[in-house]
Amino acid sequence: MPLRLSNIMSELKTQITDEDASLVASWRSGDPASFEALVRKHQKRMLNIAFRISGNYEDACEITQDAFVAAYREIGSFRGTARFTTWLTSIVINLARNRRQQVQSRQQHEAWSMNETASDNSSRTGRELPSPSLSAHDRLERLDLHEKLQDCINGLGEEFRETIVLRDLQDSSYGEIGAILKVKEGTVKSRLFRAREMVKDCLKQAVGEL
Amino acid sequence: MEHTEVRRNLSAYIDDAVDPATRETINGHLAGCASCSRALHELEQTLAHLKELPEVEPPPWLTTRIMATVREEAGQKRSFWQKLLLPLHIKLPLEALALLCICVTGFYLARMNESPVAPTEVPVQSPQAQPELKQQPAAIPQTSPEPQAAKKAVPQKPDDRKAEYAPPPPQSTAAPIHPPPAEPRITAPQAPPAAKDWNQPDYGMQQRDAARRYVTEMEAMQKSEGHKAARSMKKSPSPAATMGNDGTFQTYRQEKAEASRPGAADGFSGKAVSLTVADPLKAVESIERAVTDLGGRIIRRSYADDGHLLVVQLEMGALPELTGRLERIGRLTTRPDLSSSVNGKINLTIRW
Repeated sequence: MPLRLSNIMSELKTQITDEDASLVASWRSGDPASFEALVRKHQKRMLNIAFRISGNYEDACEITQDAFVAAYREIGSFRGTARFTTWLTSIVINLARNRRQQVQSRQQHEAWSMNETASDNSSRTGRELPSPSLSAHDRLERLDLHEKLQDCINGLGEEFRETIVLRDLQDSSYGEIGAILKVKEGTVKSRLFRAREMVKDCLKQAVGEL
Repeated sequence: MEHTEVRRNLSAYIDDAVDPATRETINGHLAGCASCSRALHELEQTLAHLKELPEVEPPPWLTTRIMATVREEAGQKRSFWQKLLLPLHIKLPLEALALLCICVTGFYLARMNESPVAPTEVPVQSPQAQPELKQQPAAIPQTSPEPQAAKKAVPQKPDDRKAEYAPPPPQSTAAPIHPPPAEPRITAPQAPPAAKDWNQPDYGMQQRDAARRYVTEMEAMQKSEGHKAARSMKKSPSPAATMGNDGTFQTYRQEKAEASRPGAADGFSGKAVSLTVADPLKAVESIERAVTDLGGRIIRRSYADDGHLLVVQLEMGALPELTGRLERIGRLTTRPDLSSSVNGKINLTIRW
């Protein structure tokens, strides 16, 4: 009983602290300007989540657009028990997951058709070892650290990529990540540990010493 | 705490997501373990690089495209509702017009399916409003009353009666015995018997008039010829049937046609003669005298403004002589069939 009561209190607290509640209520009553305000407010965050998960800017733009349109259609299913950004982020995550699966299946089909050429390119661009004579900072600058980091993120598994993006790039809390991914906080903690370790290893492999 | 367990908790340790006891344990381990401290440093460097990743900016067209897509969908939804509910200013008049059409159609269908008014519901009009046939109060042998025949008689409109028995033009001078040929007035083509019109307002009144005349004639007959003669005529049709419910001789002509058939009732044969005279009233006495002189018996009289009728019974052998006398009274427009082989008494209808 105390656990249930605490859950209810946390939900109430979440509802009260949702700064988008008034805009959502106005949007529900038929004011399109409120929805446009929500779009302008959250589109950058949603685009960056989609971009870090999909790894492609154009795909991220389409995912973001589709996510807002889906939110407009399905606003009836938003009960207000979570924050609006949590609900919207879960839509973005799902769409990005679907898009990535489509891209992977297409790439696999192309790889089968192109045989050795594709495998040679992936091996060359995937893991390019830096020269140990340069300092780490210089090597990061030369190899473009950001691209390497994105490559490392792209190399993560789906659940680890989503977790590390939400936590280390968007500063989401463990509870919010659990709500978005619909997993427990312990699961979030475990996934985050493994994701960070994999990125660290990937980065060390890419640039040498950190 | 082992190295593996410490390193497993380093991620949560960085995020300050471990309980204080675990934190104290980790801190103690890190103070004496160089490899775990280096692992913590590498993890912190990795997170620092991740946080340095720049944010991408949304394209300027993203908001516009999102809103355009949303407005398009909203427009589609609204058009769907408009089809159902919104255009009330168009739908309401159309629905009202459709309802009015249904009501008007239903009203006319109900009117068309109405049953005709029953004969008992026909309004009775005053006798003054009815065209009467003037009859002489003379004793006329009449038939027995037959209400059923009266009911079965077909009513006819007064206009039809006038067309059939158009009165002669009024003449102030005495009529010559052989008047100049005039246009036939009685031989106008007869319209077929009109269907029984229960809605005709004077139908009930006509029946009553016919019955009243019948009673009057029966009383006169009883005074003049006695009960015996009256009983002998009970076999004849009622005056209502003879005169017609509307005062015409429509049914009488049908009766005459029946009587003219060989083997008709009474064993008499029926014949008819029509003549045109200058003065119908003055011709009455001449015609009746001609009949009685030849041994004929007058069985029915009907003298009206629009035509006179006399039904007589006489021997077939006297018919040529009677025809000759009638030719001297007026111009014959319908001659009796003298070539008939019927012997004995016949019924002759004389009209003028």
